[in-house]
Amino acid sequence: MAKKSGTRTPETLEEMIEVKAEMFGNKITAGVVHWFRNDTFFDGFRNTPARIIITVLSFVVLYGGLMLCWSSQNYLLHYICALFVVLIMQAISVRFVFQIEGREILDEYQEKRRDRAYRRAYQNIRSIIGACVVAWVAYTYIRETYDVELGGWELLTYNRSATVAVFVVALISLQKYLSYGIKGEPFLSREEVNQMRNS
Amino acid sequence: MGRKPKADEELVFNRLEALRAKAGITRQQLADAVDVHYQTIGYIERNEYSPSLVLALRIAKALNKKVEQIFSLEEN
Repeated sequence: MAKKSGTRTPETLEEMIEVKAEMFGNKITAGVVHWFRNDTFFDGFRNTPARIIITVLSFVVLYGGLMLCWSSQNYLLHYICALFVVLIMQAISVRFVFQIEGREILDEYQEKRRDRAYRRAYQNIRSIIGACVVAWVAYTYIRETYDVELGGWELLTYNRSATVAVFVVALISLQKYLSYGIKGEPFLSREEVNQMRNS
Repeated sequence: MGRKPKADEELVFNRLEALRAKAGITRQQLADAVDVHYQTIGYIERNEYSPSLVLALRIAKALNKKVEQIFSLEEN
């Protein structure tokens, strides 16, 4: 039988180590792929009710934290930590589809849903930026036309600017998860997962 | 009137669940054979997702059937 082109028996010690390392790397990759695809440990985060709770929690933390930090400046670190936790929960609940690149881990359904989420997130961000621009124009128009004192840049202290910066970064980071949809993996318990897999 | 359905929302009907059960293989086994997540098989079986041509051909090969025996545009 003809040998496959490009494959040959390792002759030197260096080549043997190289081959072993490659095999070890492939094994790790296969393990990672298997874990991402078949993990059931975090299934509690992945069903639809859990997705709804996590999404509501994301909105509460994002906007509630903004209001809290705007009025009192002592909570910025708490706000960042809460957002970080929410982001991790979101990432777990969608099986890390936004963190994983490459076809060898995600299947076509997951890729399609991820791409749709990116598309929707872009549209949402575009709408939010558009609304902010319109609001800013309306605000300046009212202030200058009617000579009303509504406050201006002086409201943006250093801490408030930091709060707004955190909010904007979080808003953009969360958009893809919020656009992913609340439909989760349709299971409520691990027994149901096993039943579904083996039926 | 109304919005024209998007291409990614158009669904094809299938007899995957029945044929898979007849072949005596689980969702996980079929998923492993065609290199997708087992839930994707579930979504296809429930007509919630239309597979690509490549995946449809892989599924047909795994079940030893023709594609048109599994998938159709009309509900049978």
